[in-house]
Amino acid sequence: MTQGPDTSPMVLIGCQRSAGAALERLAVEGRALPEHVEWRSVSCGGSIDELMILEAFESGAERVLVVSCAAGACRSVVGGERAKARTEAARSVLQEIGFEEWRLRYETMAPNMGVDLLRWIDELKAPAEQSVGDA
Amino acid sequence: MIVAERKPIPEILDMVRHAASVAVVGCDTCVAICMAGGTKEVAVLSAALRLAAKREGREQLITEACVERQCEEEFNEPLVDLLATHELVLSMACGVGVQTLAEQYPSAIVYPALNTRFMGRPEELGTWSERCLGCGNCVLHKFGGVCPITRCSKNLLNGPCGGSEDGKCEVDPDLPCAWQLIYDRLAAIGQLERLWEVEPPKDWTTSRDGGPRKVVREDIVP
Amino acid sequence: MKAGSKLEALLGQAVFAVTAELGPPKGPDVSVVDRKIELLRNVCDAINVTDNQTAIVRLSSGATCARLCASGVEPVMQMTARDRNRLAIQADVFGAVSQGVRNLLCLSGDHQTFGNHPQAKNVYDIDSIQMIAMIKDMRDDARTQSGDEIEGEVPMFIGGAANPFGDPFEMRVIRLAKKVAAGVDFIQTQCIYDMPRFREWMRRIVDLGLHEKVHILAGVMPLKSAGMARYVHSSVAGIRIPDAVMKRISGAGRGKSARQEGMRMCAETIQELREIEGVHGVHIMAVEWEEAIEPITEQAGLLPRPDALSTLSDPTLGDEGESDG
Repeated sequence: MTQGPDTSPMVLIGCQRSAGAALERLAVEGRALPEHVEWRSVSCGGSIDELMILEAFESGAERVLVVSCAAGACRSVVGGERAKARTEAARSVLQEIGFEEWRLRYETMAPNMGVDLLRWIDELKAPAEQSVGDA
Repeated sequence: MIVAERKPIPEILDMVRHAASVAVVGCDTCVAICMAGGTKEVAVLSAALRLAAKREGREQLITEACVERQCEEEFNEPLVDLLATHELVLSMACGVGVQTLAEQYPSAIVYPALNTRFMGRPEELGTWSERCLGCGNCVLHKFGGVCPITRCSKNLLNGPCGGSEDGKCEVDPDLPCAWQLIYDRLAAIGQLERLWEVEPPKDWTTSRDGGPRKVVREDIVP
Repeated sequence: MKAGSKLEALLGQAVFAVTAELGPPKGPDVSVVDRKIELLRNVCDAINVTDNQTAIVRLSSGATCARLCASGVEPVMQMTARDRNRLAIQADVFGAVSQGVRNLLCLSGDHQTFGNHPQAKNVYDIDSIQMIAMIKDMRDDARTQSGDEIEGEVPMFIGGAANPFGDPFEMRVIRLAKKVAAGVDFIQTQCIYDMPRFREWMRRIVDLGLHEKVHILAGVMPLKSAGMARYVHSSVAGIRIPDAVMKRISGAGRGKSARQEGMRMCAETIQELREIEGVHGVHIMAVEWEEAIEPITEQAGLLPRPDALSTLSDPTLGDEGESDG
């Protein structure tokens, strides 16, 4: 059983230097974020906290993708690691209220990884069901 | 400082689920410092409660507030309208704050969102450990500034027990043996001879064993 | 004599004493106790009865000791500070004396997180050293810890435990000295596998002259198997098994041959301990293996014991027949 594309609301939270820069490059190539994805930009991954992520869900998102620069690539040095830690803190709260783990995803990227960003957006959906009986 | 941690959210939900409106009130003193019940934690818990209500198809009003110090009535006075207009108050203060609110507003239903753990200190970011259990008769001068009542699992006054190994307590390998700490500290300050003194049985009346306690400063009471 | 116990008498006569351990059942089934008594009756001088050992609930030490007295054998009642406050301890001491118990081992007690009721509140109102001092005052001054007069007498031979292998090493000697200062009459040590370290500890004890103030019974525990040795080494607080010992038991095969080697090693250890200055006896802890005591004592040349254990210490000792008032 194949799954169709998931167009339920999604929020993309990312820092300017990673996702922000990538989105600008994609725009130059004529590619844009899908309509159901809302882009919320921060200047540095270090300012991403669990409240921001919870508010994204509160505003109607069913899926949230958090993106920052990789550890070692962050201009503020620890911003990326902080973003990851705060995302996990949010995940823990979400799990306590029954949200499935797959609804929140964290990735690191550089500005030249726009294609990966679009793919992650595409992949952020419920895990495919196993087919039963004969394949 | 008083160290507390937030209760698991499912437990909090069981307490507040039935209420049409909940005022979530934090405290910006001890529990803010241990990142359990300050303004930020109030915001996160409130968001979680709203999300849970939405998921469960419930209508629930969640209002956030935070006071400087919930154990002192003067700081809680501005809450009077909030408490009057909400069915339930979820306090994110320590047990003292929760009870102060409840005593100050006897018709309010005040529930605790935190588990108050102990009096302790931060060891490193995100880690706090117990240092004092308020026995009411401090003997830290006898033990090089290390409290055997609080930090020895068996509160031995003539320790260590036979289970001290490699400086760790037999109860938990991450727990330092208080008597190893005492020994090292007394050695460092040149007071090892204190270890030879036989400490008599403790008078526990000054501790909680003597009943709930009170301190009164006669010179200050009007 | 302070208490009139058999153990006290033998130690006083410089007989190398033998004590063994009896673990009560996890319930009121006294047939278990009776069976163990018969295994130990003629192979030791006094029998230690453990007190909710490792914080697992068992038939109380007091009730078990009463059973021993009634059977004509001499108990050493073990009492921990973990489960009882000073009121209960003193009441239990009165109870023990009234049933004929004359030896008491004062212990802090394993923390309850080890046992089957980890959620219990622990007591630890007093520690083992304070317990020793308290019972000494009960005996010698006929006063309770609160200073009240005691109705009757408390003839008790007071024991304590010592662990020569725990840390900090320097404190181990200080702690024994404090127990002596508090009034302890005899000491049973944690079981010995590391002979050099034990010898070092005894050397310091002797240097301080403590061996003349207290009777030290060296603790030994026979290993049943290599598996037991590994378990004891890693899981029991305060016991370390040196590589040489581990190697020997591991090389002994399994089942009966391992047990026999374990008993042989224990007997050899006892013989070595007899030669050390200041060691006045041995305390054999054969956990749930009371059958091993006879072969071990036999091999160590400790049988027969000087008196038949059926001589009961006089339960009326201490009852001076005061008229009421």
